[in-house]
Amino acid sequence: MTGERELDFAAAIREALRQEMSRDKSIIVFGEDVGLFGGIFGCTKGLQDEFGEDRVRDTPISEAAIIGAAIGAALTGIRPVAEIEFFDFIGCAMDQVVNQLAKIRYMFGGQLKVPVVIRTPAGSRYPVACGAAQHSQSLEAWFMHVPGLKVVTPSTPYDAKGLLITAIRGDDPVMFIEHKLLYYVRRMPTLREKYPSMICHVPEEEYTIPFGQADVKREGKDATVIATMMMVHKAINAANQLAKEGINIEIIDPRTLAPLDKKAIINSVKKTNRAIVVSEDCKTGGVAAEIASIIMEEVFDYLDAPVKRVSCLDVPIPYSPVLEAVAIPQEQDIITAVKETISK
Amino acid sequence: MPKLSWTMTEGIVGKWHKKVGDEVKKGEPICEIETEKSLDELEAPGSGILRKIVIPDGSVAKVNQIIAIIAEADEPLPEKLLVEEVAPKPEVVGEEVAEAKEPEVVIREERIKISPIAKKLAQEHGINLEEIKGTGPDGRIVKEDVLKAIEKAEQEKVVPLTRIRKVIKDRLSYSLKTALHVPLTIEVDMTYAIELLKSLGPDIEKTHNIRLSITSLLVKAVAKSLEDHPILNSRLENERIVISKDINIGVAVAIENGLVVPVIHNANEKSMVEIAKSLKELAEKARKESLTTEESTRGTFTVSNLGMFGIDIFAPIINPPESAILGVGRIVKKPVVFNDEITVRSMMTLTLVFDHRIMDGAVAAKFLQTLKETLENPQDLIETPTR
Repeated sequence: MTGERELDFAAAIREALRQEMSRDKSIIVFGEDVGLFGGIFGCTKGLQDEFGEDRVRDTPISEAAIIGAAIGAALTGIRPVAEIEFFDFIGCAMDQVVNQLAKIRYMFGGQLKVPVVIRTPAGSRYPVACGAAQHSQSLEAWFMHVPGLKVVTPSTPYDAKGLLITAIRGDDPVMFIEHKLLYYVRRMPTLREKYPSMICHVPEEEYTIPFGQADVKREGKDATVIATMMMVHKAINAANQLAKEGINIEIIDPRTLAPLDKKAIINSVKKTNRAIVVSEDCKTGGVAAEIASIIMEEVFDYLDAPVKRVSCLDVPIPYSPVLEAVAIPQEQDIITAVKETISK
Repeated sequence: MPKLSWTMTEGIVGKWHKKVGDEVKKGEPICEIETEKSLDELEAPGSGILRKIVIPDGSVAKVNQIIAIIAEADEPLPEKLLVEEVAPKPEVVGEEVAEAKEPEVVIREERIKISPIAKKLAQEHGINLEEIKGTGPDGRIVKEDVLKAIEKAEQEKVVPLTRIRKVIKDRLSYSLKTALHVPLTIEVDMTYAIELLKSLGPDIEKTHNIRLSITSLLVKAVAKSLEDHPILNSRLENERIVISKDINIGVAVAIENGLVVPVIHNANEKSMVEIAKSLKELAEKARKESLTTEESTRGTFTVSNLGMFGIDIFAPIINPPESAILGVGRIVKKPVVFNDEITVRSMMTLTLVFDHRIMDGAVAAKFLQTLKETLENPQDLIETPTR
């Protein structure tokens, strides 16, 4: 949707941070290179100038320290928005995230809360720039698996702003996952032309989008495609191709994986009787596996075909751009999966 | 598996009332046996412990196949009886065993590939999956296929064959394929018979609480006539004609879902009142589909009456393995020559369809003649009610 006020995804994030920091002085931002440099992808550019070094801090290169500090700060009443420079680096902070961040509110019987937002860029940046095995992963499934965490996966600038504001205002820890191919589109004519749905109108005023509320991107009757983040746009392109052949797919963007809007998925599958789940993380034990299982458990009697998963091959993201393109799901993979599912 | 009717070749073990290890007494019902015609209780042939159930609930066994073993608690069982039925039969041990041939139990279960929603839809609309060709991957039946079948069914009103319809279909086509059907028609003057029923009916109804009907009169007359023409009371079995001593008259009864033939056993030895009473009882049971095997099998001759529907003449199909069947038309008042005068009499047309393999036209005609005479002089058929 093109509107009168287009913002890049990164700019929408920046606007949400700025507006929230202006509203609430307890909100602070820190992470590797977020201050002086403005963030590796520029999401925090200008914030240090505006809010000062106390509220926008560069940290040492220690993810465990970043999350540990965020937890400690949150326990004293501060609302930290911590950045993990690449999602892949979260490995260093897993104990802090899984055993501390996710558990504290529960273990203290609700007497303490940990309102930490962890922002982190994820996914493959092919074809813009390729990050290989340690800078391209999609690890969101790990966090869906941990009770106590919310997992937010926006696909548009509009959703990014609204969901980030909801994340900051909430009292629970949030994994806010930003697909790095989405960040900058406006000044990249090739990308913009290829994925027009990546750009949309973003209102200037603050707004929130509730968690657990999926967005039906496109209505259709032949099959339901559930897609997240970058995959939403590939699914939309696939839908346009399929429509030319008379196949109308419904696209559902869950927007948050935890909580997950099961109802929207279930209602759609009840209508179309077929489901294809598209996610950029690895197929085995991934997001698509979870959603496919939910569909089979809850609406088995409505299925007209096995639920299909379109996900990353179970390989490290290759260094070679050619191989990277093969590893991650592409439009054609979605088209093929849809056709196989509806057997046309 | 006991042979509960002449045509029975296999039966379904419905439900076991006893578990292995239970004590059973002779005559006690131990399980249900379902045949194409009825559901019966199987009584224990002897007392002892139910040592082994060979045929489980819901499985089919051929006639004479061992379905369970009753023995003393400590009685050693022949090893042969303990091996699984599906296992290939080892060499024949003795003559006795050789006689009771155990056919292999073949479990035929072909899985039909169908999607969950298609399956649900098909069940809801009573669509027979075997008639649908799946168009999904690997030939899976998908929703669209079922929807098409439903649409077709709605246009044509496809009614799946009920069990009883299947039995009728199989038995009657078998009959037409094997027996040589020849019809013979004769007109019978029923004036006296009607007068007799009218004059004696009310008294009998008072004493015995039963109304005599034309059908009961017919059954009695047919049974009596068969005594004189036993060849019509026979069946063809293994290139031999088996003439039955018992005269068991089947009477076709239309029920909601089809046609059943309850049997009046030894009808020739029964009085009209007894015949009328059992006819009434059997017809009611037939409509409730609660006839026992005994009540619906071992017929030797069948009477089918469509007179009440205004039919004059019809040639029914022989009820296998019987050798003949009588089709009864309506009784209608007609001008006929009687004692050299044209007068109004109550006339009825009987059609005998006989199996030409077993008998020839003259024999069948003679039977019809006897039957005609018996019906036209009906006084011998009815006992005067005792007061």
